[in-house]
Amino acid sequence: MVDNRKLVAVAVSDELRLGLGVFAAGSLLIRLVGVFSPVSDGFGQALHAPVVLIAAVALGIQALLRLITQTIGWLPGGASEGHDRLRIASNLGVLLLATGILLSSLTRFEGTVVLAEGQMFGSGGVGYLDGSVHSSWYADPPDMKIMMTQVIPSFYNHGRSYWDVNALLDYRNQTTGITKPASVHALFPSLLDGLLFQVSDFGYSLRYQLSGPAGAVIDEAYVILKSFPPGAEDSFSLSTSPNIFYVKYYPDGAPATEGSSPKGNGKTGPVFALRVTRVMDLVSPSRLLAPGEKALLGQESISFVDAVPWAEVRVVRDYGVYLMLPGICMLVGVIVVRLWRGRTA
Amino acid sequence: MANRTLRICILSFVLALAGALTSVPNPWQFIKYKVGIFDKAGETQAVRDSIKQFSASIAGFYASGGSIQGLNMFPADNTVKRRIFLDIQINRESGFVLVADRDRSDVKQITFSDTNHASAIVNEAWFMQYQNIGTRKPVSDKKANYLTLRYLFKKIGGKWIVMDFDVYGRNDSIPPVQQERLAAW
Repeated sequence: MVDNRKLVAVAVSDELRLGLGVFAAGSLLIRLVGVFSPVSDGFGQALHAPVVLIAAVALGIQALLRLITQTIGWLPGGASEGHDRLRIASNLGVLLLATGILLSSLTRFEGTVVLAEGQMFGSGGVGYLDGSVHSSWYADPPDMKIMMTQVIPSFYNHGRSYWDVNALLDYRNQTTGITKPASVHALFPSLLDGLLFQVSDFGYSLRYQLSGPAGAVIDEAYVILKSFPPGAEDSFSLSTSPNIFYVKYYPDGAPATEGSSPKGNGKTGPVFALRVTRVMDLVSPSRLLAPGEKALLGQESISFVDAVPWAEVRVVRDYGVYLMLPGICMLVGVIVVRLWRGRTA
Repeated sequence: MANRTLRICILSFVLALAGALTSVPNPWQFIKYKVGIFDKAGETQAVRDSIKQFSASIAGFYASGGSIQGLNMFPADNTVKRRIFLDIQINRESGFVLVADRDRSDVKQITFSDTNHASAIVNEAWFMQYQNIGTRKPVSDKKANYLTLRYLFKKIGGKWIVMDFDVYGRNDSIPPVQQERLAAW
């Protein structure tokens, strides 16, 4: 005959909790680091991986069982009343964390939008960067409008890295009709109307001008390029031309090793490095262009006249966070108290 | 007690690794690559063959003015095929065909980022000349193009397919491939 008490004792054991906890944390860490893929999974995707969810549900059920068995007296009592309170707190923490992860997997909405200074974004779930939207079954995509008013990067490493990017936005909640200014950072997420905003990338949007044989401008627009750090190369093409334009942008002059234009090297102001290809042909070799300086491409010419910063902003709505955060705080508190008691005992 | 705790932690982490491995499309190939028993010589030769076929097909498409004969053999992604045939179409509309002959090809480097992704740096010399589409008489001088190409490959159905390629001058520095570009494939 099966001894129910023994079965329950195994189910609520510390060993099982430890095993499940290491399994869940390990699975999450492996995906965040990107051990088995060329790039890391985002936090949301890693958290919602089936193995992490299964482990979280198992941990949550175990925490609930532990609370019940402790309350009805099946689980042996702790060494003191304080010890029992700690057990309750740790079980509650695990329960909150596990429930938060489950709720997050059902309700999380995540999308990324790239906006240059002066650009506007209006959404009901559309207009986000391709492949950046992760919408759970019961997700509620935010209905909002964002206007990027200013992007302020803080550099180190001689302008080759940034430690923070501050994006100043005008945020409008389309449901309430209320518009308010917001300041979003790369260093930490900002909470606004229940949404988490964080800057995840930065670069420059370049304004090109394509001129015809007579010199008149026939096409001009801003193109958002991954042009940071200085020397990073990105490309764009136009529907009217088979050419591919490879561009680098140096806000403070190009290094001596870049390009071969007599006007380019040694410049202290902004410089654009341009190379133009057409399938297997190098139409225009690498050369440096000052703002407004034209590069001839047969009958036509191209120049770059302006560069404005852009910021990539990640928008997250996740109701699970409101349970996960208190759960994590409780668990951290329990660990601190246990360590402190261990030292004083 | 401490030993038992350590054993539980190690076992759980190994299980987590095994669980994560199930999300990899071809776990056995992946493990072989990671532990270094991946057939690198064979795959390197397969990439070289793909580069050779790619160049030969391109020359054929241009010289024929856009004949799609041999398109099935062309180891390229649809976006690359579209780019090439758009260029041929623009030439045709202008009344020209481009005759492009590859003179030399020197594979400098082949790098595998995993079992299904590779990149190759190749020095190539191409001779190009525009001809009248009707008479086939030259309308431009023969231009020698000494280029460095970076091909980006993905292995699909056992074949190395060119997903994209970048053209550089011989003296250009070649920047690293952006991770986002690889992740998109």
